[in-house]
Order: sequence, then C-alpha cells, then structure tokens
Amino acid sequence: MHAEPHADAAPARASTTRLYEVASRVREEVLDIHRSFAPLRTVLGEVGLLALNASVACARLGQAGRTFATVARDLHSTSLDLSSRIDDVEGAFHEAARLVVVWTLAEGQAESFRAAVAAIQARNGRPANMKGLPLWTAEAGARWRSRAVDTRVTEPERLLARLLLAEREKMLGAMFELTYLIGGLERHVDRIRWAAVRQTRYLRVLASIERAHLNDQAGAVDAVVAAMESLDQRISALEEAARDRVLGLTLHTRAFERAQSADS
Amino acid sequence: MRTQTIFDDGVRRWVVFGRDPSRAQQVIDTNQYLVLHEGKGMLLDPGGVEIFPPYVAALTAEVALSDVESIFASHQDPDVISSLSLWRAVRPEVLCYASWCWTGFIAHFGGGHAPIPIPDEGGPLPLGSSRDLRSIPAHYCHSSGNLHVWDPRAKILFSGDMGAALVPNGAPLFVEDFAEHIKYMEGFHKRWMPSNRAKNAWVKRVRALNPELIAPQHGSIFRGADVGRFLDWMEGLQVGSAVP
Repeated sequence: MHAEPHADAAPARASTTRLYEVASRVREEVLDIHRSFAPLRTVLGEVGLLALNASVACARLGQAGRTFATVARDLHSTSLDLSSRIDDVEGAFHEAARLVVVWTLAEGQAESFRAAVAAIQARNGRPANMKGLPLWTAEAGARWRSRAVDTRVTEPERLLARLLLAEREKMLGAMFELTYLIGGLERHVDRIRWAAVRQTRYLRVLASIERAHLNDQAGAVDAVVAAMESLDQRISALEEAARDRVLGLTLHTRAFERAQSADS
Repeated sequence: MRTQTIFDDGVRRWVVFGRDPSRAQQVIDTNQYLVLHEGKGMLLDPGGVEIFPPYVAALTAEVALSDVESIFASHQDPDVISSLSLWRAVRPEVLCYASWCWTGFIAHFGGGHAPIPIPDEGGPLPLGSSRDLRSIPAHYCHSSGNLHVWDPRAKILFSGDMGAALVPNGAPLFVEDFAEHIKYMEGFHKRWMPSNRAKNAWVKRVRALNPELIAPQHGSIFRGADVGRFLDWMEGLQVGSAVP
C-alpha cells in the first residue's frame, strides 16, 4: 500500500498559459472563419447560373447577340476561375483543420504527461514542479537545457518529461504551419477579389455597353446585367467580410508568435 | 490511487490499482490490474485517458515501464483502453492484445498501430518466459467481442465487466458481504449484459476453471465462497433488461 498522491498540481508558467490561450483563440478563429467563406461558394453557383443565362440570352438574340456571346464566355470563364480559387481556400481550410487536430491531440497528450509527472512527484512526497526536470530536445542532440536538475527525479519522470516536450514541439510545429497557412489565406482572398469583384465588374460594364448597342432587342440581357450588379455587390460585401476575418486571424497569429517568443 | 497485491508466489504477482480519490466524479471508477511474471508485466484493461496520470504514478512504484511487455484489452470501451496512445508513447515496444472484433476500432484511440487480434476461442498470452496465461471467450458479456484472462497458476480470473459493481467511494477492495454487494451490481448486469444464453455459457465455463478469485474491472473482487455465490447469482439473473 502506498500514500495517496497530493491533489495539488504545478501551476503552469504565466507565459505558457498565455501561449495556450492565444493558440486556443487562433484555433477557434480558424474553424469559425471557414463559415464566413461558405457564402462565396453559394455566390459561385450563381455566377455559373448567370453564365448559362447569358448564353441563353445570346441564343435568343441570334445574330444581334453575337457580340454579347463574348460576355457570356468571359462570365463562364470567371465562374471556373472563381471555382478554382475557392477550391484553394477549401484546401487551405482542410489543412488548417488537420493542424488544429494535431495541436488538440498533442495538447491532450502533453497534459496527461504533465499530470503524470505531478502524480509521481506527489507519490514520492515532493511538490509538483516541472522546473527541476532534465528536459531536452531531440533536435538539440540530447543537449541539456539550462535547468538546475533535481537529483530526486526518477526515471519515469524523465521519460514523461521528454514525452511532454515532444508533444509541446508537435503543438508548436502545428501552430507555425497554421500561421503560414493563415498568411496564405490573405493571398487567396486577394485572388478571389481579382477573380470575382474586378472581373464581374468589368463584365457588367461590358454587358451594359453591349446592351446599348442592341437597343430594344436586348430585353433578355437586362436581367443578366441586373443580376451581375447584384452579384457584384454581394461578392464585394463577402470579400470585405472575409478580409476582415483574415486580418483578425492574422493579428491572433502574431499574438501567438509573441507569446511563443516570451515562453521559449 | 490505491495499490494492493492480491497474489504473489515469488514468481507470479497480481497487483490491483483503483479507488483513486483524485478521480473526477464524472469518470466511472475502474480497477486496473498488473500481472507480473519474473518482473515482466502485462497491464489488464489499463483504463481511460482520465486515469492515466495517477495510474502511471502508482504503476511505476511497482514495475519499471521498460519491463511492461504488453497490454490486454478485454473489449473496446473507452474506460478499458482509451489510454492506449499514452501507453504506446511511454512504452513504444508494448504489445496490445484484443479481440479481433475490435482491433480496427481500438486503433481509433491512436498509438500508431492496431492491437494484435485474438481469435474468438481465445489463446495464450505470453508474459516473460511464461506461457500459461490465457485469454478465454466471454463474448456478449457484455461486448460482442469480449475476452477475459485466466491465470491457472494464481487461479485468478480477470473478468472484465462480469462481476462489475458501481460501488460507493471507499468500498472495500474485496467483497465482504455478498448479499449487501448485490445492490451495487444487479442493475449493471441486467442492463449491460445483453444475452442470457451467453451469460450462462460464461458461468459454465468459469465454474469448470474453479477460480479462487474473480477480479472485475469495476467494484470489488470475489474470493473464496463468494466466487461460487457470484456464479450462482449470475446464473439466476435475467439480463438484457432494456428489451421488454
């Protein structure tokens, strides 16, 4: 029979707590921001439909609508371009979700190892304390980090501490990859802006000009132009919202980098 | 976490770990068993993620992690084996045995690779130089792929959820008053055990083994006359209560 362990656990360092808090916010934000991109996919479907409507309008106009057919083709090409860019964003989010899972699992494992060290220390009648543990990183070639090693540390504690450190490195690795991905998101948003806002705006102007050439025969074109205007406004609003979210996320990742720097 | 040796002949040793006072209240209490043969260890149902820290602390007072050779999972439940990835992290070479039914499912708990599948009829569980420990079938008691561990040397049957009881905090490690103990296990067995036929086949199989101890994963251990009392009670119990 052995003494029961003490219930107290080592208080985490303030800098580590801060690091985890910031990382937690980044994770929540990454998963949440995915939703703000979802309406773009809906709008994309509408651009494709608009391209189809424009083609039908051209066919109805016959010879008179031949020039307008250019607009329809460009619109179709814009639809494909947008689809490809939104696929890129989706791909980035899937990778981000994977990294969030890596982080979360590693955080759980790290917490289990930390609690196990504390339980062993309590069982051995010592206060829970990670500071006296001989931690090292594999990358550093088993180089001892600058710590005053507690001579009472047992072999299981050493093993668990090494595992804890490995999980922590996994977490940080995932966060850095996430930070890189988030940087890429800004570029994706820029590309969507170009593909959607500018091209749709350009095509809308082109369609208006063509409509003026067609005069009264172009009633069918009016619907396409009106729809383009509506789409233009909606895409602009969505793009601005997505840009704001990405900016917010970027600020969080910078806070994470600062917290990580303070903790290392 | 409380630790107690329940068998020791100098070569083979059984240790039970449980009744953890620091356990979160929402987590069901579990018994973890360590079987040692000439210092080499096998963990029987090492438990869930929640109890890993106190268990590893208690375990390392009994055996070096490097001497833990294998893990046996009686079935797939999270309170049985969800800590697998943590054990694989602290002891990458550890072997894990489980029913073939559940190997692909248990792999979802992580740890890199699936357990070694045990066929329905059970089989030997090597430990150190010994070959006498055996897994025996206990299918549908309660899991569809369920195995228990029989130690003919110690005459101990590790019975997983058979004989499990939801006992209050501070309950004795061994059953002291069988009649009083029934109330802690009756509801569990009626609801969690699905098949009277499977349950009775298990009772018959266990009677033939003539164990001196029946060691369940929850609650108190049966010993001496209480082994027979438990088997008689189990035989008369109607299970599968969720089906009217």
